[in-house]
Amino acid sequence: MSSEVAAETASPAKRTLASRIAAVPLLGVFTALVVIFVVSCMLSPHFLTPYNMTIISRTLAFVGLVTLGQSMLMILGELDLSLGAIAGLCGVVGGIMMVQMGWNPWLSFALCLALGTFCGMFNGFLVVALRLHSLVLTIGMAGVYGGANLVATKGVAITGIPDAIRVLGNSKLYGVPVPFVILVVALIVITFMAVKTPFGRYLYAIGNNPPAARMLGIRVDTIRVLVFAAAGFLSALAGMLMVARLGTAQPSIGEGWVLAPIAASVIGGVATTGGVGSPIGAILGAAIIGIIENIIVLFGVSPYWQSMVSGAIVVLAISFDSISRRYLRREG
Amino acid sequence: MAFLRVQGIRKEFPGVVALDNVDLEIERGTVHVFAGENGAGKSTLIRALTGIMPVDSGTIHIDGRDTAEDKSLFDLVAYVPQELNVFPHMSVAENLFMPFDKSGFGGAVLSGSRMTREAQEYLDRFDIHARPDQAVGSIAVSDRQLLQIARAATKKSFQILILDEPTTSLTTKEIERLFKIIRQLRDEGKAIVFVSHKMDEIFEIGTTVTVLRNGQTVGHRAMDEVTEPELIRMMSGGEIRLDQTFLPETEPGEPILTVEHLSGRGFTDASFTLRRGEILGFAGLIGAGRSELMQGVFGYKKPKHGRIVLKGEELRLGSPAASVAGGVLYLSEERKLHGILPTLSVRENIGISVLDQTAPSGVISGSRERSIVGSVIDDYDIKTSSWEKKIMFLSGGNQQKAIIGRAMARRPDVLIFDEPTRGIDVRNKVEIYKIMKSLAEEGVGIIMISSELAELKRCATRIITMHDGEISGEFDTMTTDADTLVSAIIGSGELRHVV
Amino acid sequence: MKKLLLASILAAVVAGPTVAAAQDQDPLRFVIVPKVVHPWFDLVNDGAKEAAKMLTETTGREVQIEYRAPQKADVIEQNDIISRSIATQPDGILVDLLDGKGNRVVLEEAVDQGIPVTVFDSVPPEGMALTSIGNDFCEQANIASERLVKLLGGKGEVAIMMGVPTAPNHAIRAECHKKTFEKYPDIKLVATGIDNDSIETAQKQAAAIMQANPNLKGWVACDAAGPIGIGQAIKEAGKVGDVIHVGLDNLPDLLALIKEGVVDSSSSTKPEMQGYWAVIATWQKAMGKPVPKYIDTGIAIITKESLE
Repeated sequence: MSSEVAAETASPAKRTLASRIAAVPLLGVFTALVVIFVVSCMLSPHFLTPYNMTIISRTLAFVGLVTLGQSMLMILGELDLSLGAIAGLCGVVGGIMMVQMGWNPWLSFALCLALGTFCGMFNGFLVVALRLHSLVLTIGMAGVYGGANLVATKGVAITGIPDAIRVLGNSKLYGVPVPFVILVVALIVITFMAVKTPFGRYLYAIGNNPPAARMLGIRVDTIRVLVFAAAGFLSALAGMLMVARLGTAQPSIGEGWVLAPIAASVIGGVATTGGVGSPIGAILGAAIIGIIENIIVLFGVSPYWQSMVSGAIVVLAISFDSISRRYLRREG
Repeated sequence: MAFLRVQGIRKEFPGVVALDNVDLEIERGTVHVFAGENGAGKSTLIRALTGIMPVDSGTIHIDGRDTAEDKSLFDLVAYVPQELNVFPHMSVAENLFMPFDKSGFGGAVLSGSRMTREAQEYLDRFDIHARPDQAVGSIAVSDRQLLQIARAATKKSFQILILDEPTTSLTTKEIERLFKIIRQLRDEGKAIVFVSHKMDEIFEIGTTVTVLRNGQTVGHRAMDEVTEPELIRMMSGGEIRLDQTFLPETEPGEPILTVEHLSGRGFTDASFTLRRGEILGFAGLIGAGRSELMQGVFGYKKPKHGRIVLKGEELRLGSPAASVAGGVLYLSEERKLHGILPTLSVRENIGISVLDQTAPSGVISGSRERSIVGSVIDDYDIKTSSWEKKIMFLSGGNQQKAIIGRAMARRPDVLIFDEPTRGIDVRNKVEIYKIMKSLAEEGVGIIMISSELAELKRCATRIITMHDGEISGEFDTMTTDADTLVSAIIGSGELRHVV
Repeated sequence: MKKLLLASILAAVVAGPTVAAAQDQDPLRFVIVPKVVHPWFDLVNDGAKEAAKMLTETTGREVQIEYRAPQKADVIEQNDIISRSIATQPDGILVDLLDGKGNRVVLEEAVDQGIPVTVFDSVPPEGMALTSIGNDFCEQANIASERLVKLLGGKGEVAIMMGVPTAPNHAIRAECHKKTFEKYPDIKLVATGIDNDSIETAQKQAAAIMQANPNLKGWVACDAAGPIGIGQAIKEAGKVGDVIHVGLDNLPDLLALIKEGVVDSSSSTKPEMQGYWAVIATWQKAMGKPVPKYIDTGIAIITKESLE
């Protein structure tokens, strides 16, 4: 104990530039992103083309929206493995409303977002009410929502999504794909919430130490349910935008959005134990994964090697952060 | 030559000398006390003696041989850390013999029956009230503490046993149990190193004492050649008065918190009233239900029956959020579990409880937060290199100050202090008493739970005693003697002189 | 009709030298995007490479084949692969569509950027004028079921193993098997299993069906995994020679079972041919030549004799 006290009082003068840099959050993940971006530019002349930037940003938009929700849950110390299934369910329900029932597309869109919010909230409610571990519960709920999807569609895609909705997935705003614009807006709102509002502080407090958060008078259970609901909303939004993009409601939507958002969050510095990290870091992590997947195809890596190569680069990206910090600290 | 001999060791951390020219001699068959305030270098010295931390210069000889030449000599040292350090989901026996190779359970396959049999011997010897197959999480805190000591003793080779503040979570009775074991080990010829803040314990168990201050040894004495004031003077470098009291000097005001027939898990039918401007002490043995009652009042654990009236309005049961909104704050004895948010910064840890002041519009004002946090850090003298430092890297004392500081920044009406001075040195204890006194004089109603009767008598205007989950008496501090209090604490008629 | 088509294409290929003037130009890059990583598509790739080699030799301009497969049979993932392929500005894209309607968005992007697109083993989205290469799934099924009926002498109990019920080509095959059997009054369809394109499931289903119908004499399948599972079940039940099985497609495990004599034969598409002709068609389009709307690569019957 003695050494700690003394070291604290003495250290300010000794903080060097290197140790200051090491303390900057997101430094590692941002550097990794820049490195991967630059290397990609060198590997393929087709990487830095407007069309390729468009497809990277659009792909990032869908998985990014789910990542935003998942990262908030992880900061809270929870996890929702049913977000992909919620996205898929909301997508096909939207398709059924618009095509088979002929409802107003915008009304259907809004109803599906509400459905996603409800599914997320229901997960949160079960976690809180049954005192279950969210990981276990949401594995089960992924089955429930995924099953509902199959019951509704019999596994067959619903085609004929109205053009009014398709515009959302396919048009651009000042040259930027609309889904990406939506992601950026969501990211700004959530980052503001996380940094500048009491709600954001509560999120980190609960993720750090739930009993202490209760002792401080924070409504822990209410906030848990709200964040689950927000994650459900964002997943439904991703699912609906994917429906808009494809023009068909595929039952398989969301199948690839379960592990990638968790990996992206971890790359971006969100701890699986909660209380640490930021949504913006998670999005940077998702961007790293997105670029890796893109360059692997552009560069023409054999499909049999793709998983291995992208997995190895992801591990490298994660360790890059901790290694660089350790190195800088030693320097300092 | 002494069994353990330390000569001129020095240890420097970036920017600070933690140990400076420390000498020490410890004989077998004695209990050697390390005394000193927080930050005096006791923990660093212990880490050097256990071989966990290499020293910059100086020598440590054990059994006449230099540890620098033979690291295996450190195997003769067994160490029991201050913090409970057990695996709650594993059995008592498994906890006892972990790591297995050190305790003679080497090999790939563990024999469960042999482990249970041998565990039972240790449980008997250390008077631990538990079965070998029980999960450690389900046994009493005091038994866990003894289990940690037993675990150190399973290291077959140990000759020196270091106990770092072993009594913090033990009751008087349990401390007696521990001392019996320490004496037994001493008589077997082991050398015991005992670290404590509690003067009565030091004088009861110690053979010799080494006093540390600012990383240096300021004296070695035989215990029977030194007096308590002398020892405290050596530790602090100045004089601290032990007879000083901290009773609020203002008259108590109107009732602010009334608890009526409150029952819940661990407490039954509790009724009491807290007035503005008074310090109401709660005395009792560990397990008497004091913390449980207060957590029930605060709403952290939901009471089953009863009624709480706060400032004339009925308080919702089982909602800490409602209590906090009504101006009631609870400072837990479990600093790690209930207090700090480890990976958040000092600023965020303090800022979290003043958000209604910094974010009235729903958006946090950075400048307002900085000004409030800044004044808390100054007022409570929290030592940290930066506000942005994660609070888990601060020392225990500074964490405690940050927790108290942030509670004060909320301007509470009722404050519940649960063992506020546990594990804190004499000087900082006095600081906390002063804070409580001045708050009470400003009109805050304070509830103080403490296991140290002497401490309650110095601070509390009234003392309520609890026994076995029920309130067993209420006493005016000025007019009640210790014996009456103790009999109320221990239960009907069982009068004993323990304090 | 089909022969006429083939002849016209061959004529176009032989007429190559007219375009060979562009010898000094960059190589032509064609990207193949199959449904998923799968050995069947490796054979497609082999055929495509062969065509590329032939074109390089006859025209003097190098044709390169790049093979980019989704890790999972998922439209969204396949679309990502297609759009990333578009980003490399190839001279042609050859796709086996997972779902025409879901793939449409990216195919349109390719067409918009002037990249020739050829579809193989699947049907192009409605209203898009893309050349498609493949075979008639119904004809493939008919060949198998007719062969089984002939081997059984026109009478006996038979069963069908369906693949994934929602996959269009599997459904078509099951339907055509059924129609064949209905033509013969002494052939009795006693059971239908579902294997979801999994060898293990097919084996379990086939074993159960044979238990329940001890007089079962013949099997047909609707996907590439089914016939392997059925063959293993027949072997396990000790009914080799007793139950006749005409399989589908040409995965190595099935070929081994045919060689062993467990499975009689297989009615197989010709993946190499599909790859070959898809490249030819794409090359023609890239050269600005007229291209047929549909090329049928035909069905092959694989027997123990043909394998030796």
